[in-house]
Amino acid sequence: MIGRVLLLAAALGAAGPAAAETVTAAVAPARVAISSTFAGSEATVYGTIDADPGAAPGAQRHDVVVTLSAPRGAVVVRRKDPVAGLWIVRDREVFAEIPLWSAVASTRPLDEVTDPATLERLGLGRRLVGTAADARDAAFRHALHRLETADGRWRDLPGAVTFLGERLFRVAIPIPADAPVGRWTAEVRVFADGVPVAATTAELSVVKSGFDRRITELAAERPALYGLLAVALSLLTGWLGGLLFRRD
Amino acid sequence: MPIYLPIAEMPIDMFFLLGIGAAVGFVSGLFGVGGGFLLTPLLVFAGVPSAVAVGSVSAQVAASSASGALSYWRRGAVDGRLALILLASGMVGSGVGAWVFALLRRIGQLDLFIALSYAILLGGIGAYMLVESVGAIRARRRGEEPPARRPRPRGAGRRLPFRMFFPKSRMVVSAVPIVVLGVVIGFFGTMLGIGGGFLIVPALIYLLRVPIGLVVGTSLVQMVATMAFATFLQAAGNHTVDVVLAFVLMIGGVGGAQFGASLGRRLRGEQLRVLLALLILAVGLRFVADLVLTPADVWSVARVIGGAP
Repeated sequence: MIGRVLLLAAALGAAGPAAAETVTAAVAPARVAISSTFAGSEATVYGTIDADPGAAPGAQRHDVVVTLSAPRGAVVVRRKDPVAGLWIVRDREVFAEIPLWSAVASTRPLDEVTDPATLERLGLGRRLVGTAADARDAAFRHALHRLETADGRWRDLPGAVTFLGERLFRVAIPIPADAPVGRWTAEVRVFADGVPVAATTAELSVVKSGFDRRITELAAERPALYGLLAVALSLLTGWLGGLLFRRD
Repeated sequence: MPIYLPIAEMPIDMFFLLGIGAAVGFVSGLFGVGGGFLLTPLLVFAGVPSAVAVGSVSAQVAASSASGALSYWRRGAVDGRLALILLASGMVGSGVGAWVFALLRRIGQLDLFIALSYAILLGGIGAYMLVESVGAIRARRRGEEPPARRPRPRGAGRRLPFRMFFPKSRMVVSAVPIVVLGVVIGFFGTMLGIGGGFLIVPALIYLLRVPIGLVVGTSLVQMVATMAFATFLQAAGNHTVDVVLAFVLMIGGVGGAQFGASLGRRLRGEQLRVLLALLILAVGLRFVADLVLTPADVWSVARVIGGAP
């Protein structure tokens, strides 16, 4: 009986302060503007873990996992096979909703932060939703993961999140030059001794600015006008070029 | 120096673009081909999504052929009537091409069709032109009159109906082969995203026997109109024309085209044809190699742009 009470107390002791912990995070800059000379940038995700006032400081080991994801979009994975001596695409699969870019930054490698079951439950480090339907689907998923990782569009940054003192953490994540435009999310999860205790999200918007923005808007909203302008630009440039370089 | 492409949504080195624009423009002015068959694969290789590459190259080809066409027009080296008939029938071919394009995309064999078309068209035309023009040069070296085609009535389809007189080319030919040629060029132009210069130049030379001095100018005029039309369709329908990309390519292209055109005037017909044949053959072989050689990775991934994989 006494043993059982002690066990309960221990369980409460572990869960109590954990539930009371909160995390606050933000991204700086909150807006990345893409202009004609954009060649990549950097976003810093920082935040602080607010502890339960009753808990003894430094009693637990905290880990932070930050997942910065670009908007989702569709990609097609193709597989070539030899047919009558020619290598042609025989099979393909479209993945409609995958993050077009994503980085998973953490204080330690994910398998050291917590156990596989918890990682699986939280979907941490997993970019593809659901599980493979069959062997073929599994092969396509594996290829997609391998290619996206090899091209640096999906990257893991273990050890990139650092603590500045007890409660304040930060991580600098590079924004690629071909960053997908739209609303990016930074999902922040805090673990105490491997147990997820708090989570929050912050947002980052990647937008085209100035000239590039006007071009994109015109192309999308007034396509016929944009087409006529493109044709006029071509003919005018050709004509001017002909005058400029006239050699006869 | 990187420059951001707003429609392709990626940065690319500006001097690389200027360089390939100038090189392809030079080829375009020299031979009267648009150079789309060179430029599109180069851009795709540099990482530009293929839909955007095809759309933007149309605009660039329109510009570089406009500057070349003007230069030939001023010297009176254009058969306007011939160009007009080719153009009108080309529109019909484009319509058919757009329909087949959508059909192949639905059954998922568009990539194969494009690769095979490039390999067969470029390989076949390149090989034929090479054999023919090397033969002509050898004959000239031996002091013979180049092949005994001259005495024969010039041009194909002289016995076909709907004969027309082309005062500029000083020939009477049936309109049938011209219309067929225009339809075929419009069809492949839409399917492959090319102006069709590499098809039309040999066809005018070998099939219709148009005087060599008028071939390049006529094909350039036909191409300006076709590519301007294609640019509008791509921009308005698919949103795949990147004007920043196209403009940088044009800047390089119009310069290159002028130098190409002035060199073209100093080279003999046979020499021009050998060079063009080698170039066409090289690009054709690249497509053949892609089909035949074992790829480094059988898997590939690409973003879906414009709705279809």
